[in-house]
Amino acid sequence: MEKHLMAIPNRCTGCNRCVYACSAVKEGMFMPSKARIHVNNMSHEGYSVPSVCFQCPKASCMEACPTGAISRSTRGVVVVDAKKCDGCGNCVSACPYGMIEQYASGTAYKCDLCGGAPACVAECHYGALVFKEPDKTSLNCRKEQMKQRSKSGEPEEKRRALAIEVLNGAERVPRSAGYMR
Amino acid sequence: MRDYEEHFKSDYQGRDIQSAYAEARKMVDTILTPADQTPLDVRQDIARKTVRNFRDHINKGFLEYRKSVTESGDFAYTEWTGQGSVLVDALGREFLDILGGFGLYSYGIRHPKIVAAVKAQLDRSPQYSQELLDPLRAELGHVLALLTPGKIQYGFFANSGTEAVEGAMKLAKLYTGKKGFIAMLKGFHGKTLGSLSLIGKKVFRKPLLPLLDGVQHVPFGDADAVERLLAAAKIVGQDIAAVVVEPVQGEAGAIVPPDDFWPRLREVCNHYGVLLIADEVQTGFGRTGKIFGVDHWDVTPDIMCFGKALGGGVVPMSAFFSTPEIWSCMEPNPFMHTTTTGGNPLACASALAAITVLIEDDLAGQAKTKGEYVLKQLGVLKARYPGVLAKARGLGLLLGMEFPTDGIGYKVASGLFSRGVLTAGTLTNAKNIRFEPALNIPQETLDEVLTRLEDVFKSIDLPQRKKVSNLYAGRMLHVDLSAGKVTEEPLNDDWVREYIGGWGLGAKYYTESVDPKVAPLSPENTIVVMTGPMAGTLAPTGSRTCVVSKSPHTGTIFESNIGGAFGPELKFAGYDGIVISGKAGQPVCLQIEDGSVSLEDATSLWGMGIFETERALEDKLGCDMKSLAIGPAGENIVPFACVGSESYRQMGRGGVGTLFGSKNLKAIAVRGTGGIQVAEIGEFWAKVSEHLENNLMTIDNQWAKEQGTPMLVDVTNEMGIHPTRNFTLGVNPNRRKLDADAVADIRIGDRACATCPLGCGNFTSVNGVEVEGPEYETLCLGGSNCDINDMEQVMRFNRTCDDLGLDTISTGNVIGLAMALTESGAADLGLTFGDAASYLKVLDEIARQSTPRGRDLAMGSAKLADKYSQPDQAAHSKGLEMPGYDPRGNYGLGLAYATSERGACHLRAFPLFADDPFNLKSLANDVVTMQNVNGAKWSMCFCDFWGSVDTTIMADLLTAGLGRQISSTDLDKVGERVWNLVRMFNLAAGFTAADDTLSEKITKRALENGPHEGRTLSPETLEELKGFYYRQRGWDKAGRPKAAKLRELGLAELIEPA
Repeated sequence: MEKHLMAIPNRCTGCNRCVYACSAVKEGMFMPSKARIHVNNMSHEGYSVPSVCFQCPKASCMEACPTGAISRSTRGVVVVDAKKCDGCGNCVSACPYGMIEQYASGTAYKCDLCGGAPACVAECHYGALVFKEPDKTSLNCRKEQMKQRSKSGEPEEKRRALAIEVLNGAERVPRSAGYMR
Repeated sequence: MRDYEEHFKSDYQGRDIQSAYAEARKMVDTILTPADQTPLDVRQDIARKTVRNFRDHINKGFLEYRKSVTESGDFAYTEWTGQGSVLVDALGREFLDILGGFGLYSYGIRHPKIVAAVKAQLDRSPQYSQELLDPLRAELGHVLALLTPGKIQYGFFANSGTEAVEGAMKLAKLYTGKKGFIAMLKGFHGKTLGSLSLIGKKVFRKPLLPLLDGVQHVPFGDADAVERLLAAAKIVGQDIAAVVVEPVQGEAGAIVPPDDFWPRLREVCNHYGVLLIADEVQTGFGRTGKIFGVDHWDVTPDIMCFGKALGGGVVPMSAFFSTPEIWSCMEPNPFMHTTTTGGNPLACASALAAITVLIEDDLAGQAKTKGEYVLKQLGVLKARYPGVLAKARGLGLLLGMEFPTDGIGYKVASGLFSRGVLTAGTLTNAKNIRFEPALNIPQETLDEVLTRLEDVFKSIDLPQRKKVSNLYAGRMLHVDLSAGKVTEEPLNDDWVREYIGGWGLGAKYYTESVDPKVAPLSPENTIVVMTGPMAGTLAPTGSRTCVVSKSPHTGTIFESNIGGAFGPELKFAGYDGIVISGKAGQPVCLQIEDGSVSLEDATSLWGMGIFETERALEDKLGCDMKSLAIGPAGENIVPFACVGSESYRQMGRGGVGTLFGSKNLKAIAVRGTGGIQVAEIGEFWAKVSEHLENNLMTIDNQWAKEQGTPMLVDVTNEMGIHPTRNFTLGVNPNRRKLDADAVADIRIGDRACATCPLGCGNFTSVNGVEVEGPEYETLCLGGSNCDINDMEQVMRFNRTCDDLGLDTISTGNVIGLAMALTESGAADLGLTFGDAASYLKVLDEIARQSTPRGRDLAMGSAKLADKYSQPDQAAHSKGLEMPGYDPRGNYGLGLAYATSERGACHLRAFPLFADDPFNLKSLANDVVTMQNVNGAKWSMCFCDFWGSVDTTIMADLLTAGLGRQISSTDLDKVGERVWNLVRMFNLAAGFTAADDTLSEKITKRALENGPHEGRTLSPETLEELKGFYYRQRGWDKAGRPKAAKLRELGLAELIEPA
C-alpha cells in the first residue's frame, strides 16, 4: 500500500515550517496562505493542529468536479489538472476538511504529496508529520482524524472547526509519549 | 500644453516704425497710469501679450518651463507689482514670495526706505558724466570697506553678479601674473564667458567649450582636494591664480560646507601663494545669518564679489572688492577695467539705503533666527510626510529643500504656486528647490507659507509602486493617530543597506522621526515597529519583531522585541514596518488586512486583559490574525507595561505597552496573505538547510530544544549569580523546585515561534493552571527573587502578568523590593518573601494602579526605593530593573547592563560564560564584541537562542535571499553603527557617561551567600571597566563617540560642531 501523510498534533509546536516549505515548493515563494498544508495554531491553549489532505479513498472533491479535472493517480494521490479545471469551486465546497482551495483565477489546488517526497515532512523537526507505509496504529489514527467532517464554511473555518475537535479530544502528555501520540 | 499659436495670435510682420512707436507709447501710458487704476481689460491684454512677446521676441523656450505659464489658466501670471514679501500679478493674483528673486529681494520687494532714496536721487542725477568725480560711488566704496572683514578696502562697481566675478578673475590674473583657477563642482558664478568657465555644471559649459584655459574643479567642501590640486599644479608648473568659491553653494541647493572647509582653504591658499576669491553674490548682506557668508568661519578672502542684494532689490548693482596690496596692480592704469553704467548714482543710492536698512533692522540676525525656525519646521514636515522631502538644509535664509525626485519636487513647486506661494523649481529641475525669502519676511507670512507647504505635502500622492524586492515587503506604513491618517511609502533603500532591519532600521526610522528631547509619553513621540529581512522565510529563528522608541521607564532610546509570528504576518500583509505617531482621541485598534489598513474604534476592548483582547480580535479578523496588544497595565501607563502577542509572548522591557497606552492604541491586528520573495528559492533554501543542520541544530543550541530557558536556573545558581530574595543572595537554596526538571515534570507540549526548529517554549499545566512558560527570567525574578519556590504560584504570576501586560522581570524586581522594604520595616506594603497570596493579589493593583501600594509599585524599583529612602535596595541601571544574572558575580554583566542603551539588559551583551568573570580588560573587549554582533543580530531579527550564529552565516543567508553580495564585514559595521547611532541619540537626549552606571544595590551592598559572598561591583571597578570599554569603542573619556569613529561608520552627519 502507498505511503500516507499523517499529522501527530501532540508533537506540533506551531512553527509552520511545513507550511512555509510547501508554499516555497508550490509557489516559488514563502506564501503560507497558498500552502497545501496548514497549521491551526491555538496559542492560548498551547496547541497546534496540522491540517493535511488525506487523499480520501472516496474523495468528495473528485466527486464534485463537473469537468473531470480531479483524478486519482496510480499512486493513489488525488490530483488537479489545471487545464481541465473551470474554476467552479464545487470541489472547495465539497471537501469536508478544507483542504482544496482556489487561486484568484478560480483554478483549484491541493496537496499532491510532492510526487512522493513531501517537503513538509522533511522540514518538520518535531516529528509531527510522518509519511510512511500504513500500519495498524497509523490506520486507526487516520480513521479517527477522518471521522470529523465539517460541511459548511470557508476552508479556513472548516479546518479550524476540526482542529478544535482534535484539541478537545486530545490526551496531552509530555513529549516522551510513544508512537503516534 | 496650451496651444500658444492659437491662443496668442502673432501680429509681428517685420519692421514697422509706426507700430513700434504706437506700441511703446501705449506701454508708457500704461506705466504712467497708477497700477490700481489700470482697467481689467488692459491688464488682461497685457497678460496675453506678454506670453506672445516672450514667444516672439524673448525666448519661447521659457514658456515650456515657467510655472507662471504651465500652471496658469487662461491668463499667464504676469509680473505687475509687489510690496515686501507679497507679489501681485497683472490680474491682481497674490503670491507670497519665498523665491526672493534668488537672493535679489533680501530687503523684500520695494523696500520703502530704499525706494525713497532712489526716487530722490532720480530727481537729482540718475547717471554720471563719466568725467567728474562721483560722490556716491566713492562713499559707497568707503562704506563697504568699513563693512567688509580684514584688509578689504578697494572696490569696483558693476551691474550684475557675473560682471563682479569677471572683474575678480581679471584682478587675480593681473595681480598674480598666473592664469589658472580652481572652482567647485556644482558651483555657480554667472554665465558670461569668464565666470561660465568656473561654473561646475556640464549643462551650461559643455556646449560652449573651450572656455578659459586652466580652470579645474574639485568637490565643494573638500579642502584636501584643493590642496592636492595646488600641490600637483606647483609640481607640473600649472600656475593657479585663485580659488573661487561660494561660501554656501546657492544654485546647487543651499549646500553648507564642513566647518573646517573655509579656514583650511585660507591656510592652503596662503601656503601656495594663491588668491582666495569668495563669491558672495548670493550669500552677502545678511542672507546666511551673518553680514557675509565667510563671517561664519572668520575667514578673510583676498577678493570678494557682491551682487543681487547689494542693490537693495531696487537698482541692479554688483561689485568686487580687494585689499590695497592686491588693488595696487590696478593703479598704474586705472582704465584696465571700466564700465559706463556700473556704480551709477541710482544704484549707489539704492545700495547705501539698503545698507542702512540691513543694520537698522538687523537683517542678518533675522535671517539666522528665521532660518533656524524654518529648518526646524521643515524637519517636522519631513517626518510627518515621509517620502516627500528628502532633505532640508542651508544657513540663515539661504535654505534648500531636496526632494527624492524631480517629479516630486515639481509637484511641490507647482502645488505651492497654485496655493499662491512663489518658489523656484521648473519641470526639469525641481529636485532641489531653494527657500530664500526676504530676510524681513513677517513671521505670520512665514507661518502661512509653511502651512501652505504642509497642505501641498499632504496632497502629494507618492508613487505607490510595490517594488519587487527580495526578502523585504518593500513598504512602510505610517500611522498618524492624532489625525487618524494612514499613509505608506516605499522602504528607504539607503537605510536598508546601512541598517538591514529590526533594531538598526527601526532605530534609524525612529531617530529620523523625533527630536531626541521628545517626552516619551507625548504625542510627538513615535513608535517604530520593524521586522527583519528573514521574517516570513524558512530562515530559522529570524522572525522576531522589534519596537524602537524612547522608553517611558528610562527616558532612553530603547528596543524591545518579540517572537511568535506577528512579524511574518505583517510582511505577508505587505509591510516591513510601521511608524506610529500622535495620539488617538479614543481607544483604537490599528487593523491591517493585506493592503487595507484602518483605525478601528477599540473602546469596547479598553479594560480587557490581553487574552480576552486577542479572542475579540480573532472573532473579528479570523483565527489566523496576529496581534500586538496591551492590557490594563499599558492602559494605565504603568512604566514597565509590555505588549503581548499569542497570549504568552511579550515585548517585555522598557515599556512598549506604556507607549501604546499613552497613544490610546489598544492593539495592532494583522492578517496577511501575500508572500515573501527571495532571489532564487532553491539556493536560498539550500543555504537555510546548510546552516540549520550544521550550525543551529548542534550541541551549542540544543539546550533550547531539550529544556528551554529553565536550564539557566541551574547554571546561574552554580555560578552564584541567581538573584534571590531581592538580589540579596546569589544562590537559591530551593532552586530544585524551580529548575528545568521541575518544569519538565509539568510540561504538556512544546511551542515554537514562526519557522523555529528549536521550539524552546514549554507549555505547562498543573492543577488547572496553564501557561507557556515559565521562562528563566520569570522563574528567577518572579520565583527566587520573591522567595516564591512553588511552581504553580510562579505559573499563576506568569499568566496574570501576561494577561495584564506586565513585564515579569520588572514586576518580579519591584515585588521583591517591596517585600524587602516591608520586612526591613522601611515601608509597609503588605508583601513579605514567600507570601504567594499577596504576591499574586498585588499584580492587578499594579496594573490598574488601583491601590496606594499598587501605585507605589507601579513606579518601578528605582523610584520605589527612593520614595522609602532605600536606594541601595533596588537593582537597576538607568531605572530599568535587572534581569536574572547578578553582576556582582560577573563584572562583564555589570558593564553590559551599565552600557546598554536601554538600561539593565542581558540581551545587549551576555558574557555569562567568560573564562574569567573578573578580568576587566578582556570583559570590556568581550562586551564590545558581543554588543556589536548583537547589533547585527537584532537588526537581522534573529533570536538570542541561535547562540552560534555569526555575521558570516547571517551575511550568507542575506546574500542568498537578496541575490546581492553582503559580507560579514558589512554586518559587523551594521552592528557597530547601530550602537553609535543610539549612543548619539541618548547623548542628545541628555544622558552622559555618569548614567552608564549600576544602582547602589550592586555597587555598595555585597552578596550574602554562595561563591561570591561578600562581593560588590565597586564604583571604581565599574569606572575602570568603562574606561576600557570607551577606549575599545573609539569613544572619548566622556563616552562620546569620536568624530573619526562616526565618520568611519558613515555617521558623519551626527558629528557635533566643535
